[in-house]
Amino acid sequence: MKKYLMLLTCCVAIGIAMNVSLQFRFDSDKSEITLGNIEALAQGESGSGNCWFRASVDCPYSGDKVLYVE
Amino acid sequence: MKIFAVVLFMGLGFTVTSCSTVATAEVMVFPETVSLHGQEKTIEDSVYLRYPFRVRLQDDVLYVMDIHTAAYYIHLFDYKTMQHKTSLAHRGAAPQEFLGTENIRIDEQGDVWTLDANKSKIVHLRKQGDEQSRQISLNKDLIRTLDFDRLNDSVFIVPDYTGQHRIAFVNAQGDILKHAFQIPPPTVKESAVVLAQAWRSFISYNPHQGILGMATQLGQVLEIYDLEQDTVIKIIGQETGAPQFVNRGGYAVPTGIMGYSDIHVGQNHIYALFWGSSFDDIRKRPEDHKEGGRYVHVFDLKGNPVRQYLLDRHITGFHIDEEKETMIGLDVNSNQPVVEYAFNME
Repeated sequence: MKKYLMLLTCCVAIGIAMNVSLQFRFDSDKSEITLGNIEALAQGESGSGNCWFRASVDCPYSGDKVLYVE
Repeated sequence: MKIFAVVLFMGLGFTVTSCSTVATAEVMVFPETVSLHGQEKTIEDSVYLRYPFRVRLQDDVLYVMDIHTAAYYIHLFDYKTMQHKTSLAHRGAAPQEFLGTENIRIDEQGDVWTLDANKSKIVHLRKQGDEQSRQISLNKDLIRTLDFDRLNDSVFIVPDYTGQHRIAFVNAQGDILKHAFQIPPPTVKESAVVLAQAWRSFISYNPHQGILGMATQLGQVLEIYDLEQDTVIKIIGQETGAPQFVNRGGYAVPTGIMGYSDIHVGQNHIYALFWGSSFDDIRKRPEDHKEGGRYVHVFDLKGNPVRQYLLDRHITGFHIDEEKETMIGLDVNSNQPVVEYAFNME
């Protein structure tokens, strides 16, 4: 039973590590992604934050239309 | 057996840590959901639409507004043949050019109006190239007006980012005539400008009914006002669908959902195009995200839910013809974005 518990803990830890690793890689590749007609450009970078990809949300920093704001 | 267990647990661990919350709260319940299938209208290669966002149809002329254009923001097509007729609102910084367009409005004379939020101007566009367009510079007290509609021949309705009031009425000189209504108060104290950014809404006014509809882009709230009586008819989703955001250095950063992207107040019903995509998911997996909404929420003019239409594709904007029971949608994810739907309100 103890063995299984250890094994389970290890597996969950590996799972978390894999997910974190994938997300990290994904974040670093943001500027490379193409979304069909949506251009993959960071827009409206300012001291406060960034706006990502051309879409329809009003970027509060720049006034560009973007996919999301950070 | 041990190998099986290892694989199973690894899968379990990976799945559990990959899950994210989809913020599509059921804030509105509709008596029925009706599926609609669209018919593509093929545009010739002469015009490439990058991000079509608004569409209008008048006298068999289809007006399509592209918010990420390289040259012209508004394109006119013969709706029967889908042949390109002309284009309006050239992109550029020159006095007669546009830094952006937010919407298209067509008046009783068939003249086309648009709003350039970056230049803070409402512009009457001439369809003939040699004619000069008429520009209305909005009063400087208005901050970033992002939509407009016509109250009558000489007055416009505009929301803006000042946050002091929900809407303002401006005359043909761009002066503010009066303000009306308030953004629903938040639970915690917040700057008016930030609140107005978060409550950025699309508007539609029906002059025959005197009714104004407002639909939040960053939440699931629909506001219905009677402008003739100066009263609030109904605010739907105020408690559960209010836009979620964080104040980052005096700017509203949306953290909830993409809500509505278009609204039409008709003679009998109000139609609002709903997305429901969570910003969490969009940020994490933009490659899986499809721009647009598949839900058209239909309310009566008192704000009672009537039904929702479930579309076969995601659209960003629509034109509703209640009489003919047709809807034209814009599928930004397709190279043939113009799609026609037939619906039956019986």
